[in-house]
Amino acid sequence: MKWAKQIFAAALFCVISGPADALTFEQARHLLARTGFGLASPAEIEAILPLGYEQAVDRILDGVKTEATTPVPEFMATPSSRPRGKEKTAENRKAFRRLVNSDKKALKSWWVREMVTTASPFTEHMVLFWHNHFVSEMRKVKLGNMMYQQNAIFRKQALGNFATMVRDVSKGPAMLVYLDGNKNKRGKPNENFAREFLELFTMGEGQGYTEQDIKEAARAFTGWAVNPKTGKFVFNKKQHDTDRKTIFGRSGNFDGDDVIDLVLSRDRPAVFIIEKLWQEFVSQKLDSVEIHKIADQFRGSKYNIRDAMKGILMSKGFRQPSVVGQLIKSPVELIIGSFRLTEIEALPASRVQNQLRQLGQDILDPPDVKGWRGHQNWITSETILKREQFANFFMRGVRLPGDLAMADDSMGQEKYSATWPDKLIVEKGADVASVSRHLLSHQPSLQRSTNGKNLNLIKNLILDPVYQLK
Amino acid sequence: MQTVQTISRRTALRRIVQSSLLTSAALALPGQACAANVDWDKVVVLLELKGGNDGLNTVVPFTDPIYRKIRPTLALAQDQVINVTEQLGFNPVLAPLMPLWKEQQMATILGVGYPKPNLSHFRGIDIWHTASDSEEYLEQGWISRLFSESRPERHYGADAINLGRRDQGPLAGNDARLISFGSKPEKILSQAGKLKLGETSTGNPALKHLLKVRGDLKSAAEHIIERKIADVTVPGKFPETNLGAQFETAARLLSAGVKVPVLKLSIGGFDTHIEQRETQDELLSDMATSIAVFADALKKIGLWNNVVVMSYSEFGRRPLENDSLGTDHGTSSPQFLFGGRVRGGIYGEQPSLAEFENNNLKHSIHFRSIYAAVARDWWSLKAAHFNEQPLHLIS
Repeated sequence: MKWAKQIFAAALFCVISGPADALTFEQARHLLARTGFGLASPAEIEAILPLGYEQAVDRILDGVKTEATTPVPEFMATPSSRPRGKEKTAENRKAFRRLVNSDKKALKSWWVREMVTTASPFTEHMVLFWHNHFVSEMRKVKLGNMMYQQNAIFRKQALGNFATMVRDVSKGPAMLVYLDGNKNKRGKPNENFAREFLELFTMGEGQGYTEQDIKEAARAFTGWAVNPKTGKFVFNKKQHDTDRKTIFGRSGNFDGDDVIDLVLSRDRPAVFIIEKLWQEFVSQKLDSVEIHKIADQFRGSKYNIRDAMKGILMSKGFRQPSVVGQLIKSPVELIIGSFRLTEIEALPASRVQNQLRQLGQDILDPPDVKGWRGHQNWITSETILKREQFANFFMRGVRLPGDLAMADDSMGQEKYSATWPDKLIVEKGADVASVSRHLLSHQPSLQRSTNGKNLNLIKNLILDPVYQLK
Repeated sequence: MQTVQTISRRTALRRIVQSSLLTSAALALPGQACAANVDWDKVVVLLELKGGNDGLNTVVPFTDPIYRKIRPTLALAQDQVINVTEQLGFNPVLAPLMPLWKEQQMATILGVGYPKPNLSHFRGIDIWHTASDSEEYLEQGWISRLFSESRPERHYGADAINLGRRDQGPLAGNDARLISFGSKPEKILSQAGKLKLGETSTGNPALKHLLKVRGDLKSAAEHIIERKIADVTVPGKFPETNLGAQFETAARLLSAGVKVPVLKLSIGGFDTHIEQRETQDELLSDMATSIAVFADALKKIGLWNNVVVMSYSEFGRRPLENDSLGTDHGTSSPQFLFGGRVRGGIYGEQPSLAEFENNNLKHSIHFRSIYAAVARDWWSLKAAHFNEQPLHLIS
């Protein structure tokens, strides 16, 4: 089997060749696991092993895509719209709810598919990061085409420009619906968007703005709306408050674009974003010196995200062996990362999406506007059990019950054809240690028999609590 | 299958035995002298109203002309509300709670808040959960912090069971043993019993956390005898909602004799920036019915005197409604306490609509006065770190 051969080859390669400035196996694994989905396949590791560290970072950054390769979901050909005015009959409403439901499933499965099959897992990791930063919940937005558009912005700017992303997302229909910007009108503004814009998207809670700034910003954003006919952004002049506003001590007849400019001219947003990226990719512990250095460059580059990410991946903090394995995998990393190890002919995307939900990461439906809190919060009494059950079922390979939680054999079982990294591992001579160093960031924490055969060996490693770390 | 009657009798017996033996037993056990009077058998059910519940449409100042002026579309009319005083009335959807109100088992605490209120959902709830000052950042939850004084012994299955949203909240830090359940605790427990525990000492904080959650769950499974829960049904028809299910599970756990001092429940959706009326009515109605059925069930089982249900929310909402039939973030709001030993009635003062603080309601009661009452009058802790005087809410 390919997988096993690669492990063997990679292990061998590491010992025999390896130029002086080439990556170590551990560095390669760490880079790929952290930028991708918590794990790297032997082929992925092998591909960057001969490179120097910076070359490898560039290779990963250069591989980032701006568009998905999975075909656009079918519903995008005929986007649904809410029934309006006379169309609001009980029957139409019911039909609308059905459509919303099926579009939701289709879109979530579509993204799962993209995450599993993409040649650049880093791209999708960044898309997920931005989705969890500029949160919109599909349960409120409802329309699949709006969420799809927003997801496309995240991918287009995944390593692009943060300022452009802030503007595009803020004017995107999904956000205008989600945080009621659509309802924010002259006279009695709705503060929902302005508050979260400052608190969660740009400045950070209580950092360098006042309650009064929120109120004034809300007035400036009045008039931003979704055109109900086209479903696109429209500036509704009649609803815009043209009076003077004072934000950060500066006064003028500001509109929404002015607010964005004012905010991005401050020092805070760059620091806020780099801190958040640091916690996602490096460590829960912030290194204020390194973060400020990267943040200064980030602001200096007018918010070039690629440069910022390069700064983070090149940082001493990221390269310290002591940070390896100190972060907890998200459900996406755990599940998608595992599936990416296998060769699957028919991915049960909707089942995978369902498992993500049960493990606490229902993609496109974060718990609230602050998004998934991540790290230790992923682990509760229930999710720890479900994570173990996932490992069990993943290893069975041919069956995936609809309800992992209850592990009830009478539940529907769906077959998918995966070619597993099984028998040949041991037969071809790859030893326990080299399988382990692929699957785990460090030594297993449970003493389990490791001389079991083949699949059992892998299963024990995947069941180990250390498999939950990246 | 156990019947309600047998549980009731057995539980009643257990209560009698416990209460008569409590002091002497606690004194007799070595290493517990400092906790002699602490009673972790008394249960607090925390109910988080997530999103910021609008106080003015929960307890309504229906005679105040300013109320109708600032709430042109949202105001509840005088003939709609349930009068509780000459000036104040409950939102009509709270009707299921009226029996508790009349029996003096429901405390309504007006104008609950704190100085320099924070209007962020997330910072707001952190302040409530850690009982910090507005500008003070604390790691430990307010209940976890109490454990430094006295900790529930190991034979309690856990320090707290989370049946609502899965955050640590008031149980964060200080090694609190917090476990969480959906509506099928027996299944989780039986799976947990099979968990393999290995080496638990590690310098890796992420791994340490994983192993702690596993360990706490496994130990809970060993102490909470699953058969009991699986076979227990409780009387009454709980609403078929997420919250209804949480209250039903809470009642089943308590009825089965599960020993745990804290149950944490939650209901979300109170962030009513748009179209508030329908949303809030639905949520409050769900809350009221769930609590009423829960109280009835616990009375029948004989545990109602052993439980306090306490509501809280990160903030109230802006007095002046916005143009989307909703309200933006505000400050103080009324909170409730329920229980057989709760002293019913009204506490605090209704915040003035004539005198705002930054367009928001002033507070009259610090939320820590409620916490202090729970810590001192319910659990008999010293809780010296609460500076506020406890409200005399519990007899």
